[in-house]
Amino acid sequence: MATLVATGVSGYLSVTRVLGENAVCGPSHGCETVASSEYAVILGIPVAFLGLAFLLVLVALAATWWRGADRRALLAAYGMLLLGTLFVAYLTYLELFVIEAICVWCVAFAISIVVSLVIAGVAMGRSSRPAAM
Amino acid sequence: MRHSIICWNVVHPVRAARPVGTNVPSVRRAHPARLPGRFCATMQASRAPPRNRRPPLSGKQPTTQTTRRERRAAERKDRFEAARDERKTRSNSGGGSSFINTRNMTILGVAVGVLIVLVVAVGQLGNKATGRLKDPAIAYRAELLDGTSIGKADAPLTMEVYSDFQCPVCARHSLDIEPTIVAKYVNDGTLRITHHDIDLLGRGTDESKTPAIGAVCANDQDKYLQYSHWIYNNQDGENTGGFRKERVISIAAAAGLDEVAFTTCLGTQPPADEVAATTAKATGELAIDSTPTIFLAGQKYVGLKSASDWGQLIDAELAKLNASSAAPSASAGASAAPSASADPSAAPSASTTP
Repeated sequence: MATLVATGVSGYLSVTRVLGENAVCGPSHGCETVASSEYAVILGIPVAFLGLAFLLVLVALAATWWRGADRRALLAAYGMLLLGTLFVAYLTYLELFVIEAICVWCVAFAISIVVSLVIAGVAMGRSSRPAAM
Repeated sequence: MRHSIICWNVVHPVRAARPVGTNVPSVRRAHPARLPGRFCATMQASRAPPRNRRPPLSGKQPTTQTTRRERRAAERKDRFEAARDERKTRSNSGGGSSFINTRNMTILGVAVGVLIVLVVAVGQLGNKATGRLKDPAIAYRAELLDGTSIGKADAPLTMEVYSDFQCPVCARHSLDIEPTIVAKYVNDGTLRITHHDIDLLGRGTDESKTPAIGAVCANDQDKYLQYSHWIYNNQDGENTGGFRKERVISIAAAAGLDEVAFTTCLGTQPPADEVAATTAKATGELAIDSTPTIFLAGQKYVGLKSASDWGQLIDAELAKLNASSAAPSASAGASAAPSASADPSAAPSASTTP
């Protein structure tokens, strides 16, 4: 569920990026500032697109694990979420200390990734526990 | 009756006591002394052992007292337990293969994450740390440049852009949106864009005022647009030292301006007065409280719009101009430039998103 929330957020930000519009952000204008900053693009690719691609892979892994109980998919998702958590930590640092503007969509995305990581960790703990004899 | 002797090595008496998958008798029963060594046993068979017969997994020698059904049940139970043990072993190791397990995925996720963050951070923050300036790589046709304007003086439509050099949205308009508008409407003589630089975000500092004064000085050297593109492309936060005087001079030099003349101009009063007057007019008469604020044919638009949105607005204004020039009663010299007489009620509904 948390992964789906994050996918929705990155999907919305990707659409606004494609349309060249500003994300609905309330009175703070933080999203406008963050989206306009030089840090919103990596190697010519908008960060929102990268986030969407990342989350589509994550959703595919979660679905594989959910349907087939394939623990390898869960482990791969866990590894990706660790990577994603480190990256959103970097992006949050940029927001707070470099761009000096907070984008509520970015915060929601970061929280969803961290919650997804915690859930993946709990799921791994449960699946590795030996079944009752 | 056949006799045969079977010998085996016992390295670990307890493990060897249950030789899974063999039909040799249990060591524990054959040799109570549980010591390592070589043991032999004599086996008797009334007939030759059948070929292709699956040995009991329990390792227990079937006795004459057990029935075939009991033996098969025992074999099934052994196979089930062996499979369960194998599953448990795989589960505890973390997955179905030797590589994909919890420990490896944790190491891999963290290592790849740290690597990516380091590479991206060096790429993004490297310029900031080293102080290198970034080239905007935008060039307009020289014959279209005219002071702070771009486009033919007799263009039927005008666009007046009010910006603050510290405003990141203004940078996006200048670097990403405006080049598309210029390519589509300015190059063919339809539109003329004029820029006005104001101090709206300085909040007590000189970081909006200094680059705006620099723009006046750059205009003196006929390099206004080159300078403004370089300034926008090298924004570094708001009121955090990014546009302190020394850095603005460095950016101007990188943009190709005469550094000595620019520095001298920056310290004189007339350019500062010009910026103050433009800011006073913008915040007073034009009621601008946010940047970018753009007037197209007299209509006020606030905030960022995509190039396609601007295209639609410009096309709509052109259609209006064509309709009025086609009408018999229309005056031949209708001006679309922003003026006090422009009718605000005619503003398109798509306008003004602060």
